[in-house]
Amino acid sequence: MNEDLNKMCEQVSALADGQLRGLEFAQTVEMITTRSDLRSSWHAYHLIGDVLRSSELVQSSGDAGFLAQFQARLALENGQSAAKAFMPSGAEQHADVDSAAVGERRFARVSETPLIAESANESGFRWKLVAGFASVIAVAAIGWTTATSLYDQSGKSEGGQMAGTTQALPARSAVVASLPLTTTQTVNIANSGPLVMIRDPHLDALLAAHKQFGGTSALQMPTGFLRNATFEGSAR
Amino acid sequence: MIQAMVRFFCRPNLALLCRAGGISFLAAATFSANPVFAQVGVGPAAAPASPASAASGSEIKPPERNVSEWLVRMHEASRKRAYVGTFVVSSSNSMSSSRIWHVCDGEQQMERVEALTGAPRSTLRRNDEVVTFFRDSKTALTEKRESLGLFPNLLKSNQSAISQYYGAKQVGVERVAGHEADVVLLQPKDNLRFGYRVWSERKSGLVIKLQTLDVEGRVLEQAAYSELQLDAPVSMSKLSQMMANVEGYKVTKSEMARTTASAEGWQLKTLVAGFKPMSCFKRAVASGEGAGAEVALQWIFSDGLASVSVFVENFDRVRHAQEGQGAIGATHSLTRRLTEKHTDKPGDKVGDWWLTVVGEVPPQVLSSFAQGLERKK
Repeated sequence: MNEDLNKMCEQVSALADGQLRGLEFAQTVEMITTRSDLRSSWHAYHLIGDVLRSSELVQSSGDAGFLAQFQARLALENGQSAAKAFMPSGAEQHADVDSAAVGERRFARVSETPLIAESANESGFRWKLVAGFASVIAVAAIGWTTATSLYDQSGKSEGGQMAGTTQALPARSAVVASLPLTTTQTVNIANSGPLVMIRDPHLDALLAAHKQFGGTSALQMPTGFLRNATFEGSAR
Repeated sequence: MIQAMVRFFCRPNLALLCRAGGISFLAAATFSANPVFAQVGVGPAAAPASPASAASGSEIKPPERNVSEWLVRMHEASRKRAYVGTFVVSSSNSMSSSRIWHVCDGEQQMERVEALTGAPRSTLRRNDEVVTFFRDSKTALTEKRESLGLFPNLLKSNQSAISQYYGAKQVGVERVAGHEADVVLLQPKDNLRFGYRVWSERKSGLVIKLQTLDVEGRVLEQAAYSELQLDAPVSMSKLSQMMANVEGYKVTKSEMARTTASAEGWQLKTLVAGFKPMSCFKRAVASGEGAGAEVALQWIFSDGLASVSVFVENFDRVRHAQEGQGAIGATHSLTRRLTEKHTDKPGDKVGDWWLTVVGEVPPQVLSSFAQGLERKK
């Protein structure tokens, strides 16, 4: 049971990273739409991303419960991952010493304790470390994206590897394309004011009826059919 | 533990990247492709005296096609190909996507549309039969969409109708979803309809992107494959199985009866230019969960590309609260109360209706329909 949940969270996390493709992608999106706990994980993962980027973005006052949950989770993660493991033993000692003393000592022995003493005194030490680490990953990811995409393009222009590349490149654009949606939703939560037009269910029913017969058009077939089958969700 | 922490913190950051870096990267990648097209476009424009020589070289200029030829080509394309792709529909404030499977064996066409946005649902189509499975409510809605079989026969037999109101112009070649596509502008000849910019795959003619443009040429809505695999192996028998497998689902049928407006006592004083009455139905319209279905008359008009539905229901004070106009993407709507009084005895109402006009047309066209509708004398 617990394992299942863990696995699902993994999936959600992977989706947030844009790592899922095809069926896995669809299944996870479906999971998120049907389960509120996974949806909150999804929001949490994004909020954590925001936290790492800028403290100003964390003003999610529109959803205090969400924030509380996030904080609880953060505490849990911090406990689990034992931040001390990251902290060199010397830094711990320095952290106990008052700042003037550290300053003095730093002044005196710059060469001996250059960075550790400085960062140990900073409240955001762990964040910085983590953020630094994450940014390394981020750079690597950009590199990866660029490299694969260049590969895709060159592969395409040479006319080779059609099947493989067509799948690789557009799949990513599909994932990225789907992300702004969730972004908008997150923004909505923060503003606590929905941007989506609230419509009359009766009008929606008529719109659906029109779409069913909107096929009375040369362009509607087949594109219109797909358009309506895809679009109907927002009309319901 | 370290791993756990790295995973926990890095994942969101990667997600962040997709949102911030990823999209801007995507945008940059898209733009970097554009100058190439710009050059291609600039070429012939810079040398207007010899447009033929500008396109010289290995490429042979495709024959100019008229509106009907383009439309027949686009229509035929889907009948001959099997493909799998991701289809994205976006308008000003919403975006939906779905996964598409399409297969054709020469006689039968089958299609599966798996919605990735909104309520989980899959739509399966065999020719004009459509079944939509709603997984949350465990209902399967079966419909027969007669209009799906209407084209391209109508196109072929009635060529002049569309070309009377729209012109076609090829405006370039662009790459969409990994495929080279002819960009065709279907331009309205008056301001009573929207224009369309269509990306038609060069070899097959398949429509891979479609934009609906308002009278000023602004994009109201667009639908496109973000990814498309042509000639993909799609099994028709598997799709048939899925379509037939309604186990565990409550099957409902879209209830409607064919009728004529005249038989229901309605007529249009004046037709809006180009829009011809196509069909008329009496149908049950359920407004929301649990609400009882009311009978509405649906009268459908089309100019060949755009369509308008006129709905007439008996006025209901509770359900029909507000008159007004609205739009979702390219689809505009207008609602209005319609009453009729005896001319000799004013104040004595003989009819009280609720009129809803919906269509992919400019709002003034909906007004024309609403104003033109009247009881038959």
